[in-house]
Amino acid sequence: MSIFFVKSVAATLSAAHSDNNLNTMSTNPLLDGLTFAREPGSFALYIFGATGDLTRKKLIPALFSLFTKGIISHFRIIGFARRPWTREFFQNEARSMLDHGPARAASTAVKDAFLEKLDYISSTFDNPEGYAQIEAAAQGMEGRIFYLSTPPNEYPAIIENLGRAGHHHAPPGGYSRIIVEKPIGRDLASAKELNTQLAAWFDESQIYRIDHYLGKETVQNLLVLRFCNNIFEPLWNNHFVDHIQITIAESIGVGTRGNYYESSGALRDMIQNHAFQLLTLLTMEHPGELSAEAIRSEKVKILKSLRPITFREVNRYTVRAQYSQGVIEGEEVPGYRQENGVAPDSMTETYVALELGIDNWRWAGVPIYVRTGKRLSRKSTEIAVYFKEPPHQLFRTGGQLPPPNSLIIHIQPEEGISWNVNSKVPGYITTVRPVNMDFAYGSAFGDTTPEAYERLLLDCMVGDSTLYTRRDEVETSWAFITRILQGWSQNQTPMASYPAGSAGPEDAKALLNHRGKKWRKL
Amino acid sequence: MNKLPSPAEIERQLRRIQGEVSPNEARTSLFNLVIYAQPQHGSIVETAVNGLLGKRPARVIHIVEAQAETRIDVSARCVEDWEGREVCIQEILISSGPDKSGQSPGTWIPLLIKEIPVYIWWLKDLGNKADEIINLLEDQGDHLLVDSRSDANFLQFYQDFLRQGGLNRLPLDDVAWQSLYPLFKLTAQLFNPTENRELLPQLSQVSLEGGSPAEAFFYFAWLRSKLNWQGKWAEFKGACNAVDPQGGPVSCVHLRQQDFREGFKVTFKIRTGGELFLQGRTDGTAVLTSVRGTSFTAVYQAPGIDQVLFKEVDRDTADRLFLEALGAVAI
Repeated sequence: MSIFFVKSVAATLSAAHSDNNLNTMSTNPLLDGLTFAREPGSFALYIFGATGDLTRKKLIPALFSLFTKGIISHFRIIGFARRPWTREFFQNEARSMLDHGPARAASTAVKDAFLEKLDYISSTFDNPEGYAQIEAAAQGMEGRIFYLSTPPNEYPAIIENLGRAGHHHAPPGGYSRIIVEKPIGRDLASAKELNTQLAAWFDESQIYRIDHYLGKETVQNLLVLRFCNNIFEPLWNNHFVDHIQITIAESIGVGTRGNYYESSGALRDMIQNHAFQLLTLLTMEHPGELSAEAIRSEKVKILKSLRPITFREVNRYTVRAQYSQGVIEGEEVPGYRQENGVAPDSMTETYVALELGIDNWRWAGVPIYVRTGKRLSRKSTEIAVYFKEPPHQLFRTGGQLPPPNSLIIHIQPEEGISWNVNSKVPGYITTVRPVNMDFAYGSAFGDTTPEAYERLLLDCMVGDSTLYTRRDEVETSWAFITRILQGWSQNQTPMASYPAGSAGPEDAKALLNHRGKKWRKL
Repeated sequence: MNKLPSPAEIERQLRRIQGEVSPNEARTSLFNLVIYAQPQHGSIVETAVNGLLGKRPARVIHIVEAQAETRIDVSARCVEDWEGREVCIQEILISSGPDKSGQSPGTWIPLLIKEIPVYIWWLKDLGNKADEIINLLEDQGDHLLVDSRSDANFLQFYQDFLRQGGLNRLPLDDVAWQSLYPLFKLTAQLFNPTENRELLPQLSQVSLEGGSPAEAFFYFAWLRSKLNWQGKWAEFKGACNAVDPQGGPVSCVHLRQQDFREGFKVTFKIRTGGELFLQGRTDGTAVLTSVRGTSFTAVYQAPGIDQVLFKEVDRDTADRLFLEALGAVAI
């Protein structure tokens, strides 16, 4: 057999691989073009609070999934927690964590190969002796990732001890990074305090503040939708957009998290992080490039442009409420104050609705309504962009104007996009009615999307912080939220009530009604 | 030639059958898949199309040579997906009789769903068919998938295909190439630690035990494109020679033909002495051993035909690495 390929093809294609500089080998040329080109190299991941639920439900399954997909293979995972577990015990626990979901189908050999990479350090978080074992446990891996999966009150001790032991320094040829779970503070002061503690040892480029919402495919798709499709951008401003609604509705209650939720509430738990992520990605300017700094800087600009809600204005622009006894999916459920771990006279909100304004050239005058709540009639996370009426409407049906167009971005449970457009009803007379043009994200990509933690962990391993929150982003959002919190406490804003299983409190409707608008149906 | 049902009649039948198997809302088809096959490919086609069930709604037009008169049969299969919606595969089986009318584009083009991509999977012999394939499918297909793993004349096909400017006329991919991706990944991982990466310019020989001749050829072609090896590969009879950018000779050897799922071994010899290994096992793992003898375990799964096809129908552009590899061996 002879090989006789035409010159024209060779000439075209050879340019693509002429960049490889094999003398330096600063990068691995074999990685080029592979789907896992974001090769994390060898690393040791230390999970502080490894005996907790997050490790069991999210972290170990996510790491195993990355392993089974061949994306990571040269690593160690070291649990670090108080419980007097051994390496073998941790491995056995981890094996049980793989008995659910997609991991169940993996072979014993693959599970064994993964579990072999697990180790455990039993130590309290304030004991320097535990931190002295960290280096040996890495077994020569190049990178170090410290994952803080403990209650936030443990963060200071862990950060301080990591720093004192010198673990903030990157090992030769590697890196040292720290992942911090939410909540990043509970107001501006505590967020700043935590950030200052982190900054005492770690550079900002080493700090990864996680918000798992950013790991969701549809949230990431917001940027693609906006900046990869030219049809949206010309409409994406106050000339065409009437108002925006962002909804994060849950049907579940606080469950076993009553104690935690009492010190948090919907504003802290959902608005400061998740809702603001959606808001900023939806309204930010074009970042110019896809770098972490460029994207995060644009998000911060939006947060800085949010018109502050002063303590005098909280009753006008905010609504807070608690769910009362009601029925969800045919089952009677207790009110919030009857939940375990909740004070009978609790003033923690399980629902919040806000009217926001962005004072910039693009969005001035466009009200943005945000609501989130527990025990609402159904689980639904979505963004609705309502467009203005045409300048002159020719068509009326029964004397009524057709409804304005809207674009709905569904985030969960079903991911997709719907356009509401007006169409002629077939017949001899011109009757107009709205119809939906639906794009179900899942119809194009019908298999399940990666878990948010897989994406976020991988990003940290490869040093991409785009989907993590930067210090100024966290503090700017807290500055906005803290004003509301102070306003609520100073103004004694009433705590409204809504029955579990409803669409929310009556007061929330008033927030829109005075402008002649209504919340979207849940 | 007997009279075949009209496209409108076939559409009516498909709607009726799909309505029967899936009374609930079904997802819209994403692509057409046209399969040119011979009768012995039945189980391969079934396995591959089953891999799309519940994941990718599509219309599959399966053209298979037959002894009897040309005829068309339609069917539909639906599976509820993770969001509770029906994902349907609409299947049109064209049994192309001795008159070969079933293979004519004029028979199956009217059965395509318009405005969505057309993937063509050519399971028949390749050999000297490049001209025929291009002429037959250039105007109708958006993407061509062939399988050179069991084709002794695969290089002849590629030679003809490229001479015809085929890559510019019909984006091409090969199951033999796609099945190598897990091995590419393992190889990249083996050389990812700095100490191993620095040995890449010192490779003197790469030997592969396992895979088909086409897979071995493409594996070496990939290495060649990535490491800038030069020199003419006049032919491939299980071995090849090249020169690295420093002028050092590099040889490649295919030692044993064996399905990757039954194990494989890749040995990288270093000019200054020492070897690195990739050893695939049958339990879904592989051991990566560096020159110092240290090793670690990674997951290795040779993809089945269903996984290859599944990946292929999500691709809307040519595989850049494949083009680069073809370009590299063309020098």
